[in-house]
Amino acid sequence: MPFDVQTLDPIAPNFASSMDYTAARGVMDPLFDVDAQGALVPQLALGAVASDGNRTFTVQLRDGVKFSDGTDFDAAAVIAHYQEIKDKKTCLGCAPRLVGLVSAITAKDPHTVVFALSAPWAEFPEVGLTGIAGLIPSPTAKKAAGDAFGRNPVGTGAFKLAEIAPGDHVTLVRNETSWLADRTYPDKVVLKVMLDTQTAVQSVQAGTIDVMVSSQPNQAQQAKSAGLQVQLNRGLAPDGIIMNLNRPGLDDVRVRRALSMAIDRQAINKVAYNGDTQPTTAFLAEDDPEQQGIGVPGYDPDKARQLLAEYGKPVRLELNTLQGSNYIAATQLIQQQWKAVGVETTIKVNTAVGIMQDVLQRNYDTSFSPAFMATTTVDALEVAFSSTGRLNLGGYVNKQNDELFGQLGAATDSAAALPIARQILTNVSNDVPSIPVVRKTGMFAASAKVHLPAPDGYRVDAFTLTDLWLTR
Amino acid sequence: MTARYLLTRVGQALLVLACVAVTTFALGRVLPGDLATAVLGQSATPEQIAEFHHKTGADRPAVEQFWSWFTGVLHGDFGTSALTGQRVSDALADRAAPSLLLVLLAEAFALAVAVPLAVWAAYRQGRAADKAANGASFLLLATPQFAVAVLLIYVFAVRLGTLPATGYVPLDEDPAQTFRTLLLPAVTLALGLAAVYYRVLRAGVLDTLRQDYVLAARAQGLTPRQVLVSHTLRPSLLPLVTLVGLNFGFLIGGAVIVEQLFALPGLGTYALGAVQTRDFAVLQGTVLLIAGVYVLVNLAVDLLYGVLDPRIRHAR
Repeated sequence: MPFDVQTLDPIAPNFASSMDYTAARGVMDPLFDVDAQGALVPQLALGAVASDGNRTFTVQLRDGVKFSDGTDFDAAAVIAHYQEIKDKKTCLGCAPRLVGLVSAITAKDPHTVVFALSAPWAEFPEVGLTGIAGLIPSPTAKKAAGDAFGRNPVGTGAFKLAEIAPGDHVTLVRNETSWLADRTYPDKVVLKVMLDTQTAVQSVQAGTIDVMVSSQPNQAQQAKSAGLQVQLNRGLAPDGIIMNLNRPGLDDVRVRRALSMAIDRQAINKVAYNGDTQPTTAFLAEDDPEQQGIGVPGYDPDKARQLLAEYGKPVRLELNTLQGSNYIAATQLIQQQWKAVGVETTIKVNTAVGIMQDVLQRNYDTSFSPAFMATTTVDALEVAFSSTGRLNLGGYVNKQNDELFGQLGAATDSAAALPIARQILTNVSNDVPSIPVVRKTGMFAASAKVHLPAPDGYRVDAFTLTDLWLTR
Repeated sequence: MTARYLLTRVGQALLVLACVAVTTFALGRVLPGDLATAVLGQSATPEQIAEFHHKTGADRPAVEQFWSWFTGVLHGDFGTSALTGQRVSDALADRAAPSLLLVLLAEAFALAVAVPLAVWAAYRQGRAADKAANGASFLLLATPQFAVAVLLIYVFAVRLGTLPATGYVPLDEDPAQTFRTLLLPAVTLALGLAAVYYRVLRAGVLDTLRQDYVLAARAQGLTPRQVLVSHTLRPSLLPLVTLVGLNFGFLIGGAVIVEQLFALPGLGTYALGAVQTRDFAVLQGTVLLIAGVYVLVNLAVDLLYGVLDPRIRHAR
């Protein structure tokens, strides 16, 4: 894994990397998973029934499941978990609406939980009961460990934590009492921190490790040439450029549209990503009904020059990017492409933390880096693009969108929400507060003896450990 | 060597460490950036950041923070990483072992190659062997460490399959495996070191070979081996010993590239991560430990001077 481990407590604010997620997902199970088509797959919950115009959700829990500390998984555990999310407000991976809309969580019986919402939210099960928010810890263990739960996690998962060594590895061992025990194959999994992806590929070749994971596809060609199995994982979210709309030039929509039109995404995919990702102008997945046919302006350098001429002033920008990544090669291409239409840029290479600090302090012009808000749902768009969105890092304001986000929250079902979502996406794509460039793409590489699991529904660089096995 | 001299050097070493402690602490406070950003993320509210600062003691006066940390260090408590919740002293104990073993092995390999080669090349100055050794040392000096690492992994792990490509096995688990996991990274470091040591020692030996007492030894009919080993090598070692001491201290925390390429959980990567995330407890503890090793090794080097050259000892 090309990341360090920080905490295995999903609702801790520093629970962030795919290493954290993969390990925590091995130890704890979610209420539901989501399959590739976006449908709910029962895990600790068997089903969720909406009532009262999507204001109430009754969730039936699996019976007979125990946490690895021997305590029962029941409605009380689910209530304690969601109450903590609401009270602490530190879960960055949880949808903001979860904190805002869930007004009461009660137990109908020991294996039925009722979530009451203050407003309709048709997608509550898909967003609120899955992913990071859906991972249920043992309330007994959580109470006992307090802030140290991130180093001593306990759940119902197929694995138990054996050792956590920040900077080096996390060791998980099979949980024999898990409800998943009969479909769990590895006896032990060591998630090893390996920051250099090139030597990670060589380590797979040499048999030192079984699988390597990368959040970018930059070693895919090397791995394929070495005869390894390579799986490219295209995510739902794009990678792209965020912009500080308070900076001269970027405060004018013509300049922002011109910057988007100057980018030859096909060339970037071909040169910087060896053709292993997918060019995109969309904020959500292209085939998402909300997104279909909508996108920021595509490659049109002549039109870009025309818009910049209309703007009439020189545009000089700083373009931040992440050191040691695919982003650098792509950023250099974007610099050339912007120069071709008359925009001068200087590139500033920085660490991930340095980039985030610059962005949070609004001390940046543009940034092609992981600071780009991953927009996988319209809910995530609200976080990024409503004028008060907590991740609106560029200062974008569109009053019509703010009203539409309010209407979206009040939509009683998906059919009613669809046209509103499409209007929001149309507005955002016209305003270009940020520029999608390529689809986020991760990769797994492994030797032939490894059964490669499908990527997790939420991340291109994480997977479920129960799907992993070796051919003997 | 007098007890007074020894006490003076130890006193100086402690003073250096105290200065390092104060400087590291002060630097940590003036560096831009905040650990709260790294821990709490992009959407942290001012209240959450304030609570975090209160919880970690970052809102207390700097002198109070320093004193609390410093008295803890005197009791072996380097604090806790706010990012991972791990005790810094535990992490340092885990990470010091691979770093120390790596540097010891690398230094041993480098000296094992450089010392005989330098003496031999100096003795054969200007001949083909000397020229070949010089050329090889230039090549090694000019080759980037990462390229050596990737090449070694390719040859010994991927093609031959004789050594692991990456990873580390602790000494108490399997000493043989520890050695195997450290072999390639140690050789990667050693090749660059050996080239430097070779050039320094060769120059020293050439200089010594021109001394009158060496000519006298030759005139007495001593064999070349006796002249080189007994009369030339020892006085030529002083610059090399200084360099070895300095490199030892530097590599303890400075072998970041090798640690990352070979996925070794060493002090260099730990310190780098702490700098990037502004995890000051980790940064202070790591810098202090590295400084401690630096001071100790160079104290040992100073003492070794007196053994290698009695004139230094008597001059004090």
